[in-house]
Amino acid sequence: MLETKEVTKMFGSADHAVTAVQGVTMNVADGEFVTIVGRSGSGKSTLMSLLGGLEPPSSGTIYVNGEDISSLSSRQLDRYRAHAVGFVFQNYNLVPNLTATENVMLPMEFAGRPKGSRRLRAEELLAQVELTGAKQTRKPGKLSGGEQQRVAIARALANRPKLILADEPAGNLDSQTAGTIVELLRTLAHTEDTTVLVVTHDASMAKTSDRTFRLSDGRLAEE
Amino acid sequence: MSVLGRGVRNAFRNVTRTVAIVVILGVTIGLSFVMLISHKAIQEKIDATLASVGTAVTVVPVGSAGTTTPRYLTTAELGRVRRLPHMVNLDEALSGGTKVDGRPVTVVGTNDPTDPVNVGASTLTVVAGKPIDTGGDSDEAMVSATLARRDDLGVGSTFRAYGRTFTVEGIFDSDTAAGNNTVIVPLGTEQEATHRDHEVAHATATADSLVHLSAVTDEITLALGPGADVTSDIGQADQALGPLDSVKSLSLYTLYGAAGAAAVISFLVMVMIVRERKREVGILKAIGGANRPIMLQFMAEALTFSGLGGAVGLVAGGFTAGSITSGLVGRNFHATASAADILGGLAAIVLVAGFGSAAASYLITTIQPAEALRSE
Repeated sequence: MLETKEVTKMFGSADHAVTAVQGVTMNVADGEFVTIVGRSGSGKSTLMSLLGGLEPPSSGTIYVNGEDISSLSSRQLDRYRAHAVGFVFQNYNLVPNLTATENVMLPMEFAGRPKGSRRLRAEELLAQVELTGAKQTRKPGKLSGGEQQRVAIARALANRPKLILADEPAGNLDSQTAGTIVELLRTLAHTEDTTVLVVTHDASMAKTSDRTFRLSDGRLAEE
Repeated sequence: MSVLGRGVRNAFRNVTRTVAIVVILGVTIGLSFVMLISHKAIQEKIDATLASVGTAVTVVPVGSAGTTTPRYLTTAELGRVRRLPHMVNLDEALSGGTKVDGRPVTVVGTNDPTDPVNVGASTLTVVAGKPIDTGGDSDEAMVSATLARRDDLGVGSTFRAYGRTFTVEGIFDSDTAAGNNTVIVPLGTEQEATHRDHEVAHATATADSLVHLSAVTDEITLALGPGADVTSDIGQADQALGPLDSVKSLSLYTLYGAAGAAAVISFLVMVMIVRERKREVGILKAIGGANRPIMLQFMAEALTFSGLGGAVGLVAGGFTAGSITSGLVGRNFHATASAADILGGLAAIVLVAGFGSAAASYLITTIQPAEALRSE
């Protein structure tokens, strides 16, 4: 369901161009839990941005569910991000003045989901990631790092996307919490039939995934 | 929570900053509102003063007053005045004295028998009959009601004066004793009776509007030269309205300045807020937010700031407009907010919010989510 062909991303002008991702070709099936490992600066986050439609590739094509997202217009990319993909970031990236529930409701609002069903779905998702009771009404500043990342995962799942992109989801967490979060993502991948792509520099996390790719100087290789 | 609700809530994310923004916008919008009210009140005062001035220009020969040998204008000289632009009427008059039934009366010859100035009054009303025909040198006359009663005259009656027999065509009433001791006859009749052919004791010219009054006064002065005193109320009015005009201009410039300052403040505040929340905008875009709902959210925030600032400004401005205007004018001055002023104030609030929103909207469209998320 996810297929890239010779995807390259360069930054800067021709004279001073920096190639962040170079000729990446990969295929990931539905429901797979895949990790992409690599050192800092190897192009992992840029690849995630490309797959998530946050920026266009300099060359190459990206197919998600058979659709070439590298040729979509800005408005079509908005819809793609709202419906087809969910993001989990290292720094959680929750909206600070909204409660946990409201943060989860946000993508549903952008996707045009009926107002009445948003809260119910958000509360169900938060319960699914084991965030219950008063914690659902707390703002991110009143939650621990692990709890914030659970909210971020619930937010990523809000519109039932077929692809979840997690960029260092456990990077700011202690090892025990990190393990819980990774386990949560793997469970979701299998139970929800959602493809999960996790970018990490932690080799131990890679051992738990279905497949692992290594990104080195922008070039991808399967391990 | 709706997009607009989030925008309103975001306006209170930093209460200290919100209070500061509201106070600053309140002061500037309030000042604009006060200046709007002042400007309008002063304009109304100027209009009322000018309306009371009238458009008449009085022309008398130089040195004719208080002398035993009065001087006269000639119909030839006044003919030049009659041809000047923006003139609608030229009332010429010659007065003399005679006896009616052995008692002295003033006789005024005029080509405008209903002009009260000719009988030294400010009002003249025909209470019976009709005004005389002033086209020639007929023996028609208008007598005051006082004389009519005294001499038992009515419309159609006749009386003797200047050795001629006059027929009463109309009876009038004026607001002065001198006016009510006057007989009005055609100008030609008076000139012939007093042997002053083509001579006029005074004339009243009427300009077509207040706008042209000054110009008409100057033109008449130029046409008649130093032999005539030409006066109108415009000079006196100009003297009285001069300070008001200055304050009116000051209030207008301050109004523009304060409204502009409010718009600039709103613009800069929203630029600062969007730049500060660039990463948050990137997150909203990353999770599927299109430009439109994100812009609406920031517009609601800008409108909240402007609305609160505007409310503070309108209330404070409404209470202080009278005293500030009095202070500017230098005397007690009545200035209150009308419904139109309040509507103007509300329009200014929307305008201020619009400026802020425009800044936010533009910046939001330029934010690339990947770039915003990289900028940690």
